Amino acid sequence: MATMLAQQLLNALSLGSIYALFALGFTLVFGILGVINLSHGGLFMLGAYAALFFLEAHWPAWIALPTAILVTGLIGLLIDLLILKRLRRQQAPHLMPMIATIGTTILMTSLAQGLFGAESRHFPLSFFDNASLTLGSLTLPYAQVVIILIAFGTMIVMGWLLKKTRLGIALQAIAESPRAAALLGIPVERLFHLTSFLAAILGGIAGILVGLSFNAISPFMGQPMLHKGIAAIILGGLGDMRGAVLGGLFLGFAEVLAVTYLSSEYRDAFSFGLLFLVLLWRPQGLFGATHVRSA
Amino acid sequence: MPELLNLAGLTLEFGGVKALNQVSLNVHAGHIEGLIGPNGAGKTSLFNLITGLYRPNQGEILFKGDSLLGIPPQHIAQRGIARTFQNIRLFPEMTLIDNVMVAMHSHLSYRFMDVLLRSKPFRQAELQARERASALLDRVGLSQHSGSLAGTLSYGNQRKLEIARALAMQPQLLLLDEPVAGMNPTEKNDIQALIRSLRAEHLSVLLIEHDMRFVMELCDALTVLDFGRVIAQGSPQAIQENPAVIAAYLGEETPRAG
Amino acid sequence: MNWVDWWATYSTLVLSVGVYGMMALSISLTLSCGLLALANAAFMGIGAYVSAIATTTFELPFYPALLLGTLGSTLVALLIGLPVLRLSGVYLAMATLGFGEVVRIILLNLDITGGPLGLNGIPLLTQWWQVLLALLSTVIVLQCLRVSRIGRAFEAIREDETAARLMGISTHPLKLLAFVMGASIAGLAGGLNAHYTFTLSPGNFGFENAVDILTMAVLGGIRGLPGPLLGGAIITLLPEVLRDLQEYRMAANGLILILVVLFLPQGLWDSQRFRGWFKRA
Ligand SMILES: Nc1ncnc2c1ncn2[C@@H]1O[C@H](COP(=O)(O)OP(=O)(O)OP(=O)(O)O)[C@@H](O)[C@H]1O
Ligand SMILES: [Mg+2]
Repeated sequence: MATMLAQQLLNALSLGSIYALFALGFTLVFGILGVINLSHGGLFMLGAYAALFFLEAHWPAWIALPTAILVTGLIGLLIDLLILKRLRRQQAPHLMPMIATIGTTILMTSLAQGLFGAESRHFPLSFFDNASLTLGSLTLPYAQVVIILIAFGTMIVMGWLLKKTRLGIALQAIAESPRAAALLGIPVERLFHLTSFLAAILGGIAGILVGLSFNAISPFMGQPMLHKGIAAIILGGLGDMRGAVLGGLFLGFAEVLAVTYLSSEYRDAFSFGLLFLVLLWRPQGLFGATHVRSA
Repeated sequence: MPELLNLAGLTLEFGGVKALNQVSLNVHAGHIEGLIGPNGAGKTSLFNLITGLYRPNQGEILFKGDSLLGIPPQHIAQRGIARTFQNIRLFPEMTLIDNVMVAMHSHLSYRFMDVLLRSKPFRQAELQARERASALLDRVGLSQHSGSLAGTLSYGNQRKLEIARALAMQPQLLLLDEPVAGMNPTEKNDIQALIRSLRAEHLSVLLIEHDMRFVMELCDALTVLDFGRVIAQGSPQAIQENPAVIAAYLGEETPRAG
Repeated sequence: MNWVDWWATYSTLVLSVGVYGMMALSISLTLSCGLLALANAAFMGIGAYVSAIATTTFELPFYPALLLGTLGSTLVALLIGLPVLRLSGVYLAMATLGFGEVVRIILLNLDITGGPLGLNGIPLLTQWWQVLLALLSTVIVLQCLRVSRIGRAFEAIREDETAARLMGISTHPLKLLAFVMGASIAGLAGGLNAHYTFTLSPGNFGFENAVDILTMAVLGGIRGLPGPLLGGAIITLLPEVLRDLQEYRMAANGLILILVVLFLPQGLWDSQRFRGWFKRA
């Protein structure tokens, strides 16, 4: 019984850390650019398919996966340059970037479906198969350990970047007020591009980790993940990085425990019911205060 | 003399900084009351308090003897207080006539069913509203633009439209926030004449304006704010000679003259 | 091809043009007062399921079933609208998306809705003229609203909600009205839809559908009633027209969304732009 619980908690930790990673990128864009980038789910899916593409070209994993991540980052940058930048310049209402990025997601999903087929695929990687560490009565599958390490490692690096470096301080200034930041001589536009790039990288890593974790990727994997990301960042408070990570972890634990102790059908109902209640009761999120941008 | 609006001891803080500090002033029915003071003195903030956008940290606001504290902006407006905005807030994508008619919303009493059935009360009310709106546009000299979009108007004309829109609410008290800023002398004279004619119709006006000549010629009484405090109150004559007022303006900048 | 064959092939498509025209109008109603509410697909689902259950399980006649579907979605909208409409901007969008997911998951898990399999064998009761009548009634009602104090207030709320309140407009009840009326239209459209498609499944009313409906309104333009109708027709017919593109069909939808947002932010039907043409000519 205790072992089963420990196993479930481990599952929850790996699922939650992926959600957290995804949500971190999602909320980063909202915090800095002030837009909801609904193509984040598409970028997540793209990361997984880029990895599949390079792995199937027989690149070694240690080259294929970072390349896939980089490609995802560049697509994120491209979306910023071609679409979001233009909308910023037009000072379009917040509806517009949402709709445009829904468009990019549909586009990416459709292209992935056309190029790779609609059915789900798996990475041609064998070294994760069934390999596991045994700690007493507990078996830790390698894949799960690697996923947790990569996810937390990435989040720690991001946290350091945002809190401790000059870049991070500049980004925080932009989050407060882009106009004031520009007056201070911060290259706001360039940092918007960089933010889109970084966020896409986080989305891409999350996509690859999901591919490793479930050993299945599909063109449609972005949508449910986007919903989870939305739930996580609202639980954590829109634009709040720490909140997004906590929200993602919370969601992972809540889902795994709901599946274990309730029924699997209600897994999604649980997270969305929760999201719905939080929105009505505490729209600023469960953890921390709302981030209100002074226009 | 009956007082329409009493402000007593109003204090408003933004993060510990007092934008308004113990401000008291009265607006008498049928008077034009001026509110002047250097930039950042707290004049617009006072309007925001009266219209219910902000809540004071201390003090009382009485309109016709009833407290306005805690009443939402739309209900304050319905009780008879209309305003214009220093940074123009028209509905730019709507036509002039629609901008004015929007402000008649709470006076149009037809019901939802009347709308769907296009019943007689509906058609009559709409017709009258449209006629009144045209008359108001005429009064501020904008009738030839009535079908254009508000956003296409010149700056001065936008200010005029704001006044027409406020008047459409049939208020008892009109709050004007820098109504002639950016206008040329002819336009200023038009607005001055308009405000005088409003007083003749027993409308009370509280007027913020930096143009001293305009204020002095028009107002029955003046209140001077500086750093959120009332530093002088009285007739235009008395204010002009008040040393504290002169000092406050010299410390900041010379009053802009029209 | 003669008329009978043509109708046999294309009737579903033609009816869908009408039904999705109603859906686009329903979302444009909330958009026209500045609310990005994405619950319309869910309301359509509620209307569809309620009326289909009424005709199949309870064997009610068509009209009472349609009425029940419409009332069902209206009632739910009233209940969730009260709290949800306190939110604005992206929070409202997220909350309504969340609500949509909740509805989909409930449909997926109830017995009476047939769970993941959905409902099958729904009687084909919807006639073309009923769809036309419903669509026309919607257009007429909305047109009446537009030229009344209510329509003007919607527009004012969209342009500057604070200024609207300072003009004495009680914005909350009006937003609720827009939201609830949108839900009624969607519920009716759903009931009509259920009775010509034969089957219903929870997936029909999820995120993709919500996005499609939004696309219709944005593509067509929300500044007038012809816009959403036009957008609804285009998005409904597009997959048919682009059938040769197969898997890439959806890519066209995505591309259209992007291009419209970037280059035609007011949508295809923009009366202001038309007016501009005539002025300059
Ligand atoms: N929403 C707000 N948050 C924080 N501070 C505010 C806010 N509104 C006003 N203030 C501050 O309150 C003070 C008074 O501002 P207010 O706009 O009332 O001045 P004003 O007398 O109208 O000036 P002006 O002549 O320039 O219009 C200023 O220092 C301003 O920065
Ligand atoms: Mg001011």
